[in-house]
Amino acid sequence: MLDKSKEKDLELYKSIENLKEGSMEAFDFIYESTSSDIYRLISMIIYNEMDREDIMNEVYIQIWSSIEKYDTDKPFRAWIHGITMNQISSFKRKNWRIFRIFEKECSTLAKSEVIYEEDMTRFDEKNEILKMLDKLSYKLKSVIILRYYSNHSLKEIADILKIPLGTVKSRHNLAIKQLEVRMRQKNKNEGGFKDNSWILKDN
Amino acid sequence: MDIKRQLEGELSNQAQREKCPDRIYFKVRNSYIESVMKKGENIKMKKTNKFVLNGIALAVAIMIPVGALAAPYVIKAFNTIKIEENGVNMTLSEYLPEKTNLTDIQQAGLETAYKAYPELEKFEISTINSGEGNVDSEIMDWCSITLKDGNRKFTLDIDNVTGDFHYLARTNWGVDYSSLSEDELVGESLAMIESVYGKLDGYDYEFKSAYEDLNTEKAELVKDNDDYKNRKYLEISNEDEDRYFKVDYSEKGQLAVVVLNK
Repeated sequence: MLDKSKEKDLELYKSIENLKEGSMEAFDFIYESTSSDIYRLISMIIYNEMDREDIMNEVYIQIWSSIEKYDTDKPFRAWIHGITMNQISSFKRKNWRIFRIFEKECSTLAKSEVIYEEDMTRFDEKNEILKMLDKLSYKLKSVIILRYYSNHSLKEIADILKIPLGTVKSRHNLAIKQLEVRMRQKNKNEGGFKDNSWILKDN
Repeated sequence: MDIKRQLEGELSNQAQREKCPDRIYFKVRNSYIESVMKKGENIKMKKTNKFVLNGIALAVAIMIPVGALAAPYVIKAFNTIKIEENGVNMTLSEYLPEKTNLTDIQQAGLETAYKAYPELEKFEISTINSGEGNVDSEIMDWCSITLKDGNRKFTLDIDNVTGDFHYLARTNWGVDYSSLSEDELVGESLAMIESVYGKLDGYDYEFKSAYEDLNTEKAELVKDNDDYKNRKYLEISNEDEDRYFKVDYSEKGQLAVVVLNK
């Protein structure tokens, strides 16, 4: 992980303070320390590269415009992950609105989610667990990614997503349960997903 | 294997395959600079260029005006790239937009512009680009400075060695040049040139066809472009003087003067 230690957090915090004074050294330091981690987190959820770039840009704008809100007692990485997840959610809401405008025949939320999820499927064909993960709803998937990719505790995830800890726990349990069910089902189906419509219905 | 361990392992592997594209750095950096400048804070930007990126070269090249450019030798460039194609062989450099990133010669050029147009002192420097090399057979060693005040813009290209102006352009200064008569255009153009060079004695003017000035190869490229074929420019010259001027008023809201020598 990039900035686990408190010293690193404080160094980043100090650099962000300098960002407000227009320091390009501070900007470079912040970007170099965080960009790879942020980009990878975004790429776990957003398929389109141009969309990822736009979200990255928004994340950094948010970082330097809201540094006053950063609580130095909390991990810096969790704070920027919160900003990142918030920007991803905003992007998805915007995408959904655009989708609704142009695809009026698909006016139900359920239908639009199905199409969105299909668009997002991109993991390696051989990687069944990630393909399963891609089929989960966004709410469940984001908890799993923050827990098992970013290694945040459930409490941190609650802070990042700004939802109660109990909700995080129930989403986490539901996600694991769904993945286990799907893996079992998949193992029964010889030849993999000949018909995956069943997967999309039970989210 | 336990599904949680599988997730940890596979997500980590997947993440390792995702590389943050270098171009995002420039996009984010530009947003940062814009946001800081918008705040109007009295800032001192400094830059160490840690990201030397071949992939960025084309995008940056497009952003830098063709008539721009030349590198101060002491001041460190914000970003530097090389372009070698289509008769162009140049090193293009981008500097952080502040006065301290100008050489003495460039500062003197800027002062001349301030003297000609005192209101420019209120404008902010928005870009400093430079270029050194060759365009076709012409040797270039130029700097291009753009000043902005809201929508209003003033661009000047300065020879890095002699300090001569090569190009002056003002954009969105409240005049719709396309609606002016030829006499009015001449008046506006002379006023702009004389504000920098003083009274032009014995100079004549003539409206010429931009298309007819093109060589055969370039004319062939735009032969179906009626807009270009009908395009005119104003030439202001004196047969006894080496220096002459071409005035381009084809861009909306812009009056641009190219300074040439015979």
